[in-house]
Amino acid sequence: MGSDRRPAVTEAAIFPVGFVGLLALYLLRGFYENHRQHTESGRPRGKGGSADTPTDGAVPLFAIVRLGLLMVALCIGAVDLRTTSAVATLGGLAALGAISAVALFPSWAMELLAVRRGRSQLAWIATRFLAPWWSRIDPEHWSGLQAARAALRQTSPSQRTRNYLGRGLGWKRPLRSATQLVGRGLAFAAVGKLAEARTVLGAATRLLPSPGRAGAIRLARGWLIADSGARGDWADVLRRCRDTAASPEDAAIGDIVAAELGIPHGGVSLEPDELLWRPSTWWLRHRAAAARAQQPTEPAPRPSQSGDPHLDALATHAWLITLPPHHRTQAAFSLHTGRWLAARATGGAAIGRRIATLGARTEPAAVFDAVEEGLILDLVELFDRDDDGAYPAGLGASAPAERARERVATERIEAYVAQCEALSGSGTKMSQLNAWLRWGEARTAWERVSRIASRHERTSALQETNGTVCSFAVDRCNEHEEFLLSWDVFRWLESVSVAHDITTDLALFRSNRQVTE
Amino acid sequence: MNAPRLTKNPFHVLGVPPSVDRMEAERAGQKLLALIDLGHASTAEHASPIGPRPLSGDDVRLALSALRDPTTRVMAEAAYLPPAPAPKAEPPIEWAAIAARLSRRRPFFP
Repeated sequence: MGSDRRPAVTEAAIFPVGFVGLLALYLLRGFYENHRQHTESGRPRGKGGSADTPTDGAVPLFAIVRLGLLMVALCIGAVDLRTTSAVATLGGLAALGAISAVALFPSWAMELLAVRRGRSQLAWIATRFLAPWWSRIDPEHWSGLQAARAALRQTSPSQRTRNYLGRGLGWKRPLRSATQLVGRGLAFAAVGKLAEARTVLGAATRLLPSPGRAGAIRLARGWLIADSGARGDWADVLRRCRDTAASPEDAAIGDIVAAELGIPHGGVSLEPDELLWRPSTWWLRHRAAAARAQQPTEPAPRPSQSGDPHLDALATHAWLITLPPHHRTQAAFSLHTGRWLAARATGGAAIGRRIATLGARTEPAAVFDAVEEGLILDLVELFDRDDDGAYPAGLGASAPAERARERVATERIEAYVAQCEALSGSGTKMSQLNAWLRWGEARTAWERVSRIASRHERTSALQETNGTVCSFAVDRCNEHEEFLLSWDVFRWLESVSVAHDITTDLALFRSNRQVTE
Repeated sequence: MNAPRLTKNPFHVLGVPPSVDRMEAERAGQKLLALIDLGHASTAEHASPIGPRPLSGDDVRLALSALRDPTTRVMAEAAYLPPAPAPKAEPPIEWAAIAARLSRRRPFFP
C-alpha cells in the first residue's frame, strides 16, 4: 500500500520541442524573405518586380508545417505532463493554450500585443520576421506600416519612437509600394504632422486598388475618414465613405453619419447596429449628432412673392446662401436668377426716384450693377465654403450665380496650374517624399477644379498643363526610379485625357503607363 | 466699386432702417462705437437677413462712411432686406464635451 505515489513534478514537464522548431522556422523564413527582397531592391520594376505584387512564397506549405509542429508540441506536452498538482496542471495547460494561440493566430496576436498597445518596435520586429507566414504582400514595408500604426496608438509618442519612425524604417529607399506610402503617411500622423499625413494618405487612396494594395489603402482611407470626423468636416467623411472603392465598413459609417445629419442617402449598405459596439463608431455618431444640432436639417421654404420684385430677389438670395449644401439645386439657382433678372427689369424707376431725392451722381443701372456685384461676392464666398452642393449650370452669362461660378472656377484653375508649375519648377532636386506631397497637392487642386469647372474649362486647363505633368513623371522615373509615382501620374494623365477627349500625347501617356506598370 | 453686401449692409451694421436721415444714422453709429469701445456684450453681433454676424468698430466706421455719400447710400438702400428675426435660444448640447471625454486625442482606425 501506499508509498508508490509519484512526487509532483512540474519543472521541465512541458518541453516545447515543437515550439522551438516552429520559432526557428519562423525566423528562417523571415531572414529568407529579408535576404530575397534586399537582393531585389536595386532591380528596376518590371514584370514581377512590383512590391505591390504578391510574391510566390510557399505560404500554404509553411502553414501546414506550422500546424503539424503545433500538433507535435501538443502531443509532447500532453505526454510529459506528469504532475499530481491540479494547480500546476492548470497552469501548464494555460501556458500551452496561450502559446498555441500565438502560434496559430500570429497576426491577431501581433495586433493585440504590439499594435493596439502602442509598441512600435515590437510591431516592426514581429511583422518583419513573422509576416511572411501569414501574408505574401510586401512584408518589408508592412512592418513599417504596423510600427506607425502602433505609434498612432500612443497618446504622445516618445522621442525614441519619433527617432525610430524617422530613421529606423528605411525612409531613404525609393517609394515603390502603396504599403510603404501608407506607412509614411501614418508615421507623419503619429508625430503630429497631420497636413503631410493627409496629403500622403490621400495620394495612397487615389492609387488604383489591386489585391496587393487593398489592405494599405483601406487603412489610409480609415485614417482619413476618422481625421475628417475629428475636424467636423462631415462633407469629406461622406465623400470618402461614398467612394466606389470604400469598404463595407466605411460605407456603413457613411450611412450612419448621413442618417445623423439628416442627409438623404441611397440606401443603407450595412445594418448600422453591427458597428455600434465599436468605440470609434460611437464617437463618430455622437460628433455627427453634435453637428446636426448646430444646423437645420430642414431647409427654409422658398420665399413667396410679395409683389415687390426687388425685395423678392433679395429674399431669394438670402434663402439661397443659407441653404444646406445638399439642398442647393439647379432649381434654386434658376429661381434666384429669374427673380434677380425680374428685379433688374422692373426696378429702374424706383431706384431713379431715390437717386433724385438723395442727389446722388449715378444711374439706376450702376446701382443694379453694384448690388449684383454684392450678390456675386456672397455666392463666391458660399461656393468656397460649402464645396459639396450643386453648382449652377446653363443659366447664361447674365446670371449672378453663373458669374460667381466662373470666378471660383478660374481661381481654382489658376491654383491648379500653379501646382503643376511647382511640380516641374523644383526639377530633380525634389526629394521623393516632397514629390509625392506635391503630386498629392496637384491632385487635390484638380479635384477642386473638377467639382466646379465646366468641361470646356477643364479641357483647356488640361491641355495647358498635361505636358508639364508628363515631364515631371518622366523625370521621377528616369532620374529617381520612382516607378509607383510615375505610373500613378501616367495613369491619371491617360484617364483624364480619355475623359475629356484630348488626343494629344495620349499614346505617349499610355505607353509610359505600361512601361512603369 | 464698393459693392453693398447682403451680409454687411450699412443699415444692418448700424441697426437702423433705410428711412433714417443722415443725422440719425450718424448718432446711431457714434453710440455704437462708444458701446464697442466699452466692450458692451450687445455689440458683439449685428442682425442680418441670414442671421447674426460679427461686428467690429471698423464695420461701423465703414458703414458711417458709406451712408455719408449719397451714391453709396442709394446702393446700400437698394441692397437692403429686413433682418431675419433672432432665433430662439436653445440650451446647447454638450456632445463635444462628452466626445472629448470618451474619445482619444488623435483619430484612430474604425
